[in-house]
Amino acid sequence: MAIIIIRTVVMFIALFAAMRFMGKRQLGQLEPSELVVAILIADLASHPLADIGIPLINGLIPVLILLCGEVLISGIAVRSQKFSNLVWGEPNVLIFDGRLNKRELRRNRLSQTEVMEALRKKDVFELNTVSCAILENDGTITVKAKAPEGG
Amino acid sequence: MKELVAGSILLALCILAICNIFYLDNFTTGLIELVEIGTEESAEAALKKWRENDFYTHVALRHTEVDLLTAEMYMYLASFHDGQPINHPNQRLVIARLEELRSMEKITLGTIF
Repeated sequence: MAIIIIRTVVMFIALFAAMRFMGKRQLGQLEPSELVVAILIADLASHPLADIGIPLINGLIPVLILLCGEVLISGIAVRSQKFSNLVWGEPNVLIFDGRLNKRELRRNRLSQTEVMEALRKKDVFELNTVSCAILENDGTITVKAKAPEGG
Repeated sequence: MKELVAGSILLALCILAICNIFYLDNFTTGLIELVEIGTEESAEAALKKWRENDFYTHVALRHTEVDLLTAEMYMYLASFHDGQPINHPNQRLVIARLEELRSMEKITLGTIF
């Protein structure tokens, strides 16, 4: 039992340090690759905790590799727009000047219903009031309404 | 700066992994050679060498594998007290187990997949 306690504390400190090193405070700010890494890290770290027959290093080393890999990838992505587009993708314009871009919807496997639902959640009920709607890399849709007409 | 640290850590891990491959290979090969001699003294020397590296084996290898091999080495040692001849199944078992451990860290398609 003492072994499990010590291992859990060690793994907790390691994961905490890993997350701080990654530099993100909120899950919602994670890019998809970072989210994958976060999920993988949690799963990998749990194996030596559940089975004390597995060396602790079998959990720590994969965590360290994923963490360092993610820091390197995000570091390069910040410095290179091309690399950033390759790894994280680009925002996609779903609606422009009140018109749905069906090609982009198909590319992102989004239905018109889903887009309208996202608009309604932002208090937009008419398509023709939208100047542009963009599907961001984190999966959220940002909306810019058209300026109201008249004086 | 963080990227530099991350890259350095990855490089260090790669170097450590390569060193571990060589160390484990030398360690298990040495043990196999001792066991293959087939005398009680060499079997005891092999067991002593194995136990002396307890920290390394428990850090680098699965504990079940370590415990299994330890038990098999004791069984092999016990076979001498029973007056068993050389090339006893226990000897072959220990050698097979050691060869299995040696191949664990080798980079092959089989070990990766």
